[in-house]
Amino acid sequence: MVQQKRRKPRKTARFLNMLLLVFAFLVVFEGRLIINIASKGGINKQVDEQLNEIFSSSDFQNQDEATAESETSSETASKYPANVTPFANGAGSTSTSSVAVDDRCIVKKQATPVDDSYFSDAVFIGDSRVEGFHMQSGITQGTFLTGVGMNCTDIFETPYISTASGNVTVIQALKNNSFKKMYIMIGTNDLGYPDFEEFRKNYTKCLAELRKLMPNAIFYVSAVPYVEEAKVQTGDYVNNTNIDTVNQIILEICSANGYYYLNPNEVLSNGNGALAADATSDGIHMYPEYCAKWLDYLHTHYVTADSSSSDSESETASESETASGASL
Amino acid sequence: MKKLITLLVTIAMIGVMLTGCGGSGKEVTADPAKLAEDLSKTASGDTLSSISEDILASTYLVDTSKIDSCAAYVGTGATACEAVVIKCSDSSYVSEVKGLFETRVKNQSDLYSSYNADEVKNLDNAIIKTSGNYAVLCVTNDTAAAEKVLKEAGF
Repeated sequence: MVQQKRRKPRKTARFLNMLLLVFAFLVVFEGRLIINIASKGGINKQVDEQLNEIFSSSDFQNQDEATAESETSSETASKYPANVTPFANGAGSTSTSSVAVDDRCIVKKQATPVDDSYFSDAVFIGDSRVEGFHMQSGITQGTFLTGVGMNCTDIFETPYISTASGNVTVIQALKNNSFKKMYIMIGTNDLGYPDFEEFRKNYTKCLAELRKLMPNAIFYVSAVPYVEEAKVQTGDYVNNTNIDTVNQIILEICSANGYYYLNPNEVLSNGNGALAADATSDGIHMYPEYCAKWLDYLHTHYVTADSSSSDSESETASESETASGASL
Repeated sequence: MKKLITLLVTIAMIGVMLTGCGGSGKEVTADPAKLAEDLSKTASGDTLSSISEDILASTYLVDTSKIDSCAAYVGTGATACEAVVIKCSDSSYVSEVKGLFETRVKNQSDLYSSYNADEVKNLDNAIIKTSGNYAVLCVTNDTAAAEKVLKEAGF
């Protein structure tokens, strides 16, 4: 009996030792797991909250419906932002077919380049080529709303913009944001139109809807950069002939509606209506060297309050920024 | 006998602790820039280039204040290939980065499904790994080569 009584404390001690070891093991390894699980739950909660905020907003829904309903009323959209002197010839004109283009809509090279701070209040909207430009050009400022495959037909319906809570539409991404400059760079994914008048209609609508969202912004609308046809696998429609066609349409839309037309092909072309040789791996998406050239072009091509005058090179960059109301 | 069992169990538990729950047993100490570069070389069909920390942060939506060092290589846009290595300041942020990588892959997959279906396969096989304070994302058309690079780095 006495021996049995002495053994019980030993068993208890061994049990306690084992328990301590297990406890130590749990503290060291499982503690981290528990923390991770807890933090992951926190992330999911945040994601859910953000999604609810975006998708349950009646304001957004109304805005989206209004966009859809106004498809045919792009001609009535306001033509000029208040802070930029319009090029007057196109004012009031709604015709975009075979019109004489007012070349004052074409952004001319300025003598003094701006630096990246000029883009601090700008948003760039574009396709995978613009996504590549964002990544590879070295640009340090500006907001980029880009997505592979973006085109003017479904830009407001397809969720092209990546966020931590999934992809959202351009409209959703623009919501609650204000920008003083808009760079629109789409069109490559629209080259397959069987009828380019349909492209004209959709592109005009796209720009008009964006202007409704940012009525006071300066609108820079970019020509579609050329491609290296020999490398393009879909060359039956992604070719420079079609690019010239859509660029002429984009220019006419800009002229008629008060948007500013940028033509990066001035620095990207080989001089013969094609993208410079060896600028890409697939004929379309440019290497960093050419994205940097594209950025240099944007540094020297911007509008001033007197952009409609012929001598725009006389102003300094800082003066022009102040004059255009684009305070930085 | 019971003493022996207790001793063996204790040794086994200590062994498990020291080997990190059955991991590779090699602590990751890689330079993110070097590792990202090595991973980027496994991709073909596009030329991947290094991007700045700011662009990395805005693309992968990570909080740079919680990152010790990082590096990423991305393509021109021709493919979905990319290689990202992030060394977090604290291991508690690693799982969040992993979640952001998973969202990135899903977002890209959604977009590429209607744009370039061939890339969806690469995205489906995207490698997302964590070890210690490190999180890695690699989208490549040669996952075997990328896995080898990661294994040599201790993942």
